[in-house]
Amino acid sequence: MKNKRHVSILLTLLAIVALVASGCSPQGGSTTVKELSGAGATFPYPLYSKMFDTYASATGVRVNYNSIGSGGGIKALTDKTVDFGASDAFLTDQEEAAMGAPVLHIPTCIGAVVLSYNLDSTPALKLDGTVLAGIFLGKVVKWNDPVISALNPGVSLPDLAITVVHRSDGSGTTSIFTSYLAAISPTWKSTVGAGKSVSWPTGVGGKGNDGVAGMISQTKGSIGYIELVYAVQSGMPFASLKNASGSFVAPSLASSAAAAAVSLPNDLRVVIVNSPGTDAYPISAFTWILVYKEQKYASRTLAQAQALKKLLAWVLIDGQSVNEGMSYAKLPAPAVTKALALVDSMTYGGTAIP
Amino acid sequence: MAAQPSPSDRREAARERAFTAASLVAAVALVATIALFLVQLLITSRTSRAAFGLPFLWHSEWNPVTEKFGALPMIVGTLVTGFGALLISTPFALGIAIFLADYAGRKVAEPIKYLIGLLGGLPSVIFGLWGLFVLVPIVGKFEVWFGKLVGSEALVASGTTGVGLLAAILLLAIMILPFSASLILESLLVVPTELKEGALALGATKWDMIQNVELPYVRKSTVGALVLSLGRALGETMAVTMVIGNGMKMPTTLFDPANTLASAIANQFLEATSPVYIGSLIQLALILFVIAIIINVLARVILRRGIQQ
Amino acid sequence: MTSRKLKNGVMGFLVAASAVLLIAVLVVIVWHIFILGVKYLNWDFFTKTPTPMGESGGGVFNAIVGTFLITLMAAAIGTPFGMFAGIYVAEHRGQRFAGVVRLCADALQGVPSIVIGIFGYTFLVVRFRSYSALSASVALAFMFVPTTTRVTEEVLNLVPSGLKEAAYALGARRSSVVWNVSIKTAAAGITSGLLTSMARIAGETAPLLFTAFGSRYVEWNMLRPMSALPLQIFVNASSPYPALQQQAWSAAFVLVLLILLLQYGAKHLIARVLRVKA
Repeated sequence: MKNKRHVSILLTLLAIVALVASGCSPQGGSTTVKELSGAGATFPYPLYSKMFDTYASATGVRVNYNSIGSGGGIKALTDKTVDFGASDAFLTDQEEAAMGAPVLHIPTCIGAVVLSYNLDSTPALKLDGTVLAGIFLGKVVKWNDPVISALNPGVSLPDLAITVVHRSDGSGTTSIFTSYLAAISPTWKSTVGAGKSVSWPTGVGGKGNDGVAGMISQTKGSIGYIELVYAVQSGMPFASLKNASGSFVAPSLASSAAAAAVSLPNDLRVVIVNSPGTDAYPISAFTWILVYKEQKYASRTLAQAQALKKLLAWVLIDGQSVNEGMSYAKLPAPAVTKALALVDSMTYGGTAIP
Repeated sequence: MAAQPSPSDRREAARERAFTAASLVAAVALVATIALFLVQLLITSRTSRAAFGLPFLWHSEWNPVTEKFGALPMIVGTLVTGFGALLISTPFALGIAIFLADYAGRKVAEPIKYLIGLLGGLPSVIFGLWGLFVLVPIVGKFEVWFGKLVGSEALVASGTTGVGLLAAILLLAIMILPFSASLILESLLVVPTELKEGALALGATKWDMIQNVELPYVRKSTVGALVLSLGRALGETMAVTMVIGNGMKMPTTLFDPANTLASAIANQFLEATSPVYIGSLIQLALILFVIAIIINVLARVILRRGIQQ
Repeated sequence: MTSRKLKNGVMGFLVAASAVLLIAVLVVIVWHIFILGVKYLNWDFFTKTPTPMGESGGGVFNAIVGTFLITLMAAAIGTPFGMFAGIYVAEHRGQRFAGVVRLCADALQGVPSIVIGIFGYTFLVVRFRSYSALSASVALAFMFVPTTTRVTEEVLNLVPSGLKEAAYALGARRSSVVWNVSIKTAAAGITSGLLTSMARIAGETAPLLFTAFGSRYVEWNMLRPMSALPLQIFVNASSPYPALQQQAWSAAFVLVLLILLLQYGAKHLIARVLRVKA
């Protein structure tokens, strides 16, 4: 008799759970939306996690953002499994076509991709695009290679093999970095090319910006590319790079903002690597939040569209004050103006979202 | 026949029907699940087959930029890690099983069996965590030492990471050890005592008895147990993903970063955007699914024969 | 003679040595989880949610809630299917279709967890246009069902046939025999099996990657993305921040504790069944 009780207790428990769970019905159309979800780039993740934390305490709306890589963000938006995607690379024509509807690119900040390395004496290194291409092509294999020494007079470089660390996942950071290498090195452009995932000639893969940073910090003699804030927060050294006007520039808020001082197209889909300014850090980039222009799709409600629009406007105005504390440059004023215009162009069922 | 069925009888008859129906539905659902998996995987991976066809299996380029996909590096990675782990763990699994069956008394055997159960019940991701922070650095040191020994600078250079095929093989060997050991032990325990005692009575040493009586008796079920363990190793995902280094190139040494079918999917599926890329990853899952089904059915058949014998 | 004796001794030593090695490896692993896990545990760990990247403090309350909800839901979905399929196999022993069902249960048990994850994504997440804890529970239920089927079958087979025959002789129908005699006798065994299956799925990560997806917030709605301990361990372990890596160890410790608890419950019940039998 007693034994039967075990089963019934357990079954009752399970039934309760099932009931509780089914009681939590999805967001109804009438009520205000308290939750939004997004996924994508790891490059701005530290910024987004801080921004959305601030947003939640200010408005009570929770934004669940998962940093799964830019490719993942694009896929999630294509599959319509999230409210917004996030990417450091704007959509390719093929990706845009797969979306099936126009997608807006709302920039949120300017970031810098830095070259972090792990060397015992942590010297301050200077590098240029040609040498970087050599390293990532697997042609420059030792830290004391003459081409590196030539850029770093007075720095004693060890007789240590270089371990290249790159991303193993589809990444906007990779897209930015490879666009830069392709802009500098014809060999890179013809053999590897630029994209979110490329066929790396050498090295080991880490997952996400954090994965690459983790691998660099664990590996002597390694070099890899990560977003500035990851290097700053985990205390790793990073190299100064020679920019298009020939000066060596360290990545910083100012130097990445300087890279954005170019004329911007209205849709804000623009690459700013190898930017011409004298103070511009050459591997800088916008990062974007991607949303459908027409918000009435699948089973989306007007309330969801409104919540999303509100969030985007907040990110462009109030949210910008979070940027600098997190080592991301603020958007320049013209970019904010154009981005707000894009947000205003969002529609629900063909009419503007109130 | 003539009497009207009482209401309680009718209730019982209805319950009987419901009960029979429920158990039949559940049984059919279970069988249908396998078919559903197969169909779903086939449908969602068709873009890959349309683009590459059968050569997908032996092409070794995996390039998301040019959208050329071939599964060979992952198939090789899966087989090398799976068989490597089996090779390393089998002697130990046999040793442990024999120790527990023939050497250890109850007081020693019971706690060890408990520990084996504990080790076998640890989640894959915890093995991965341990592998990443404890095992991988050790493998890295070994790689540097080995590289210096054979005078290979490349090994010394890459050794500092430690992630790669070897780390995955070692971790997998540890992970399947409790599984294969307890399966082998199970079959050792059914060897008739008379056979064993007979051999000992004839003046055989303990090992003679094990070698000539026990092991031949359990040969088939041991093979079954090993095949089942291999199946586990081939499909293992998280632990391998965390220590194998996610290289998409064909590995040339045991120290190279590589990928298995499972780890490639875990790493790339969420961010694959183009239909061909997604299809190719699902195609990897399909290959893994088919391998797993074949191995499991094969192992069960061998095991059943071994027991019937 | 001596060479045989020598061989006997050497092999005996090797066999014992392999057992010692296994224990050593186990002790090292458990020691790491225990020492590192406990070291970084604190109250916040259980009650707070993760802080924004790079800030210290925070906890994994969201993941603890998620693991409980997702696992229980998976068991709720999987139990009826698994149990009734097990009853079917036990009641139709020797029949061809019952053999097929059992073979399918074995095969499903062997399906790699990542394949189940892919299935969950393409079949549920894409269809319902949202990552959700529910799709994770369904994915885990696919792992829960076959173990439950096998356990139910095995336990029912242990029910003394005399007991059943006596009931049939009294004119009882099959459903009431199975329900009132077999299940009642085997209840503890089945419950123990359910707990063991739950212990197994509670630590699964791969099926959650593409379904539950993770969330930084405490989430009670099964239709929304949700975090879980194994997911949190995986994400934190590969992060560059020492604070997050330490949290991974603590999360691992808590997860192992949870699994041990479930296994202990299962064992305790089994022990009672055996006592009742004896």
